[in-house]
Amino acid sequence: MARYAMACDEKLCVTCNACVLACKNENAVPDGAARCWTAQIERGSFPHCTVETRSERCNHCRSAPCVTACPTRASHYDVGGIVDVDAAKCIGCKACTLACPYEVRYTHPAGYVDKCSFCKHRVLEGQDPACVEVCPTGALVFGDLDDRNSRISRLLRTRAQLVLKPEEGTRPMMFFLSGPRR
Amino acid sequence: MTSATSPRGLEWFSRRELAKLPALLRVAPGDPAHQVTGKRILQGLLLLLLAGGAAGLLAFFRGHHVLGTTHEIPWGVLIAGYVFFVVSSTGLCLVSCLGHIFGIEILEPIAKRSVFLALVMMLSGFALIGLELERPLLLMWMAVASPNLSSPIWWMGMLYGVYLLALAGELYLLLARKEPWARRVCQLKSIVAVAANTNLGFVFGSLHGRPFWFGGATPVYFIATAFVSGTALMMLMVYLTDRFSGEGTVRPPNEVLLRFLGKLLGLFLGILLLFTVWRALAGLASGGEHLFQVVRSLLVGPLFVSFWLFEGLLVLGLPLVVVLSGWRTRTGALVFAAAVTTLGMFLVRYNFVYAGQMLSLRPLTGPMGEIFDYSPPFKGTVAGILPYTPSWVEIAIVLGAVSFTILAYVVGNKVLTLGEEAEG
Repeated sequence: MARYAMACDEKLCVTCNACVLACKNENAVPDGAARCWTAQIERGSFPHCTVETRSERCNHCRSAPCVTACPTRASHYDVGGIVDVDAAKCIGCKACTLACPYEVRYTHPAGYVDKCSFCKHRVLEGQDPACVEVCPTGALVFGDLDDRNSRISRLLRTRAQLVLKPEEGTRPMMFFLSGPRR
Repeated sequence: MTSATSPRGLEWFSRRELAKLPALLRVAPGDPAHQVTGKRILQGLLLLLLAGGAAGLLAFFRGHHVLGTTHEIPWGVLIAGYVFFVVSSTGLCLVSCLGHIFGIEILEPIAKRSVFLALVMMLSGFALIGLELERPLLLMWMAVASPNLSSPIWWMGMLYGVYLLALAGELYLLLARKEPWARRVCQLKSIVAVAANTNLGFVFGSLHGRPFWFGGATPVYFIATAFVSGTALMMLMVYLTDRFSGEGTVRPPNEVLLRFLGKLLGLFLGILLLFTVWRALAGLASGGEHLFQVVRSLLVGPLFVSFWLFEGLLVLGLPLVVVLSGWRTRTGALVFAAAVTTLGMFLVRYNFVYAGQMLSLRPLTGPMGEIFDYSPPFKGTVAGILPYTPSWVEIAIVLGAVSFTILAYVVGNKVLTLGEEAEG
């Protein structure tokens, strides 16, 4: 059983938005919505300031509040722990949108709630998600945490990392590599 | 079924009663002044209902492009309206059941009216949430075919469904004069009503990513507000039914009833006042930046007017002054208190629903007070306060639901013989 995860190396991400465009093309994301986006976070003030740059998306939490909140099991855990939305079951109540502490969901014009699925259709064919494939600096890494030799497993063993809002207890599967390479 | 074969009180299928309905809206030359006013109001409500129906069709077929909700504020005034209607219905049911369960005889004559109004309000509430859902028809199938028992929304649908059936059953039993059975159904319905209402609170209270809603106090807050809006609605119902029928004045037994309900309203408002004050103070004292910002927005920020005018003055201030002063013996003052409470409670729901979503879940400031400049994921999103303005379609739908509730009550009161004189 796979346990899929993604990492974004903040030392390599230049927020070029190639991931955003690739995602939009791959998944036909409508105008005004996004499954993936880039963030630039400034900290401190001159001369002691830093900026974090990274690519964000659904965190595919192991304890996903959206899955608990969904009344029809449209939001569910799929293969390898991917948190996906079954559009055919979604009634559009948007409980999942409000349950998600990361604000990663949007309402598709067709009437269902949508978000990043780690490009499940590609992953099932052995390919990387579209955002990973186009990243020009190799900042995005996708793989199986149950495979100790996968690149992502090795990176998470060797690099300092953070997840968004760990205090929410959602156990995200999207990691941000913030420390230097060891 | 004809009046000759139906049980007593169930003569409502007779053509004679139905033939009287157009007269509800037609102003006749011999009508007394209060009836003319009443019919003009009903004509206006019919227009609002038609406008609301058209807006509802627009929302249903055109999708949610016509609503003011956004990706970041997915629940808008339709959800606020839904909460208002179903919580008020629960409150009406619970206050009316006080008569049956605790033997408060003064409430028993209005049991049928209360149950009927509670039923109509549930239908209005369901219509609002149906139009808010992206795919309401799919819900009916998926709630059964693919239920998620860990979802508070699934339980909300089930519990309110059972509650609706219990209301319909109790109304039938009351109309059929089967009081002992009606009493048993009333007791069962009260338990379901409390469960459904508090579970609705838990729909909001379970969202730990939304600190303004999250917590075990939210379901208790919902039941407290149910008693407030239920009592206020019952007072309005008693007054307006007398005012626009018969002699056009409140009958003496109902003046006593209004004073009793005024005392109840004072008690429930007192509880709500404590709740509101301590909730606000707890928010200010919270370590969480998000909750603090929401409460500050309510107290001194963008929601200042909305909070102090509607929640402070209309729901808590004016009604409490009336019921705690010498005005509590005056029918007019009590009805004024009930009217402003009812209007204010709708806006309290709006404040509650919007305030829970008004702040982006993105971090606003860091541990050292530094400002985070966050690239927005969606168009129109800014770190900080997210805008929401109800569209005209949403406003028309809500006004249509209010009109439907009043018109359905007037028609039901006419053809179902809900009046207390039918009890004797």
